[in-house]
Amino acid sequence: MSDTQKTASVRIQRFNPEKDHKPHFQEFTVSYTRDMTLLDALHEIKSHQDGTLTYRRSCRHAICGSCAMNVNGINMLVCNTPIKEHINRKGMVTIKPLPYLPIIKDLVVDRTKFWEQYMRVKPWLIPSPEVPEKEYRISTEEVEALNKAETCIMCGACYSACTVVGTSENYIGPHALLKSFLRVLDPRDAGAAERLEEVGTHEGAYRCHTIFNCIDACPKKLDPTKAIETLRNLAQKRLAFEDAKKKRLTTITKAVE
Amino acid sequence: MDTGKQFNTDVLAALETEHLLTFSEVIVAGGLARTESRGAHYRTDYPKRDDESWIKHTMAHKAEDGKPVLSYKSVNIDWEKYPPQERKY
Amino acid sequence: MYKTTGFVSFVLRRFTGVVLVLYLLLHIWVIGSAVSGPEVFDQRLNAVQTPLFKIAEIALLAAVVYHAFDGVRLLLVNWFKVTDKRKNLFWAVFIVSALMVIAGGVPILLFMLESK
Repeated sequence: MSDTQKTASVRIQRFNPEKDHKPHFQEFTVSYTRDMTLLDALHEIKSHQDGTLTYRRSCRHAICGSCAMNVNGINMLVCNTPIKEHINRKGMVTIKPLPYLPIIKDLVVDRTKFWEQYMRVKPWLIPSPEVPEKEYRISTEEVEALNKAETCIMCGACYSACTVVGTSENYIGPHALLKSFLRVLDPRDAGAAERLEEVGTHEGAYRCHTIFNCIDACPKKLDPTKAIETLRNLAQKRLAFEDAKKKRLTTITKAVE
Repeated sequence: MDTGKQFNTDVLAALETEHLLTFSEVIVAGGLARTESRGAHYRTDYPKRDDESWIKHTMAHKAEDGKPVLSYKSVNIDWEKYPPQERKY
Repeated sequence: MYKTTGFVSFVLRRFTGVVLVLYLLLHIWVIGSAVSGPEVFDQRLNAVQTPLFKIAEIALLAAVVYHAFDGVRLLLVNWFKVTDKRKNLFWAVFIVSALMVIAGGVPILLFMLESK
């Protein structure tokens, strides 16, 4: 197939905090080729058509999490999404900022609440008071169980797709619950008790309505809902789980069979 | 051209470009001074690793004229437990 | 609002839940009047037998059926790891509910038309 130039209409939500009362849409025309991504289109518009267009971006290969936006109603990263996959029948693609978060300017949103909920679950390792002399020994199965949770790039697509986040004040959110799950199931972590206390509440794992928007939105195909369900089950069997954890911590320096 | 006083992308770009230039200079200065090859730092004039002279961290400070001034810091490893070996993989 | 199948399922779940609560109140008001004697009871019972209420009954059937099957879906989602089949489960609930509403609603409609 030859690289013939086709054109698409890119409809972007704009908001200038110094001039506008509320957001409005502006349309641009972009010629695109087979491999052009949505981020390429935004760059093209900013470089050649409107230098005031503002958006976050960095790595352009789906690892930094900066460029999550709402395209045709769905959250995604714009750096690894070809534009041709989202042009509708009228030849148009609509780009808006992530929903449910306050807009700073154009496609840039205020992520304060997102980070506050993240810090709330203590997203770091809480080691046991007896730190081993040599390395921690963990089995392949234990590592695999955590693979998906570790791959999260904190892009915010899941958080801002969640209906519960949009309709409640203090729901912890799929991103933070996934991180909490990562630490609760980490054999090296000794803070299961305090973690389950924080997330096993009506603002945490019990608030999820299994709407599954988070899984649909995640650019890394992660599964926050499964993590939340696991946290729910563990919170119910908390004492047994804490016992099992304590036992595992005593064997963690021995070689794995 | 981005106008306005909030989240001005031209200001951000100017700041980041300044950082890029400063640190490029630091990296090149450190690389020129290191007369060996080690890992990703490879020189055709010194293709081998020189553990006798070059197991140390390069530190860079900013002089009054804005140029980087280099100094060195020792590496904190237990050499008895983990002696340096030739990289054959 | 972020619109997906899951969102539709959630909204219907809430809506049918509210409808069922209101229905319960109405039901108690009608049936509970039995303690006030046959005249009041008969009057209230007749008031809810009109054709309008017959149609409302089909709507009630829809609410009960949808809420029940979505509840079963929730239990499945909670107890088993069914994330890959999440969309299938939503659609299963919609379709089964629709079929049951037709299966139950058609006799009600026919009965209503016959007894006119």
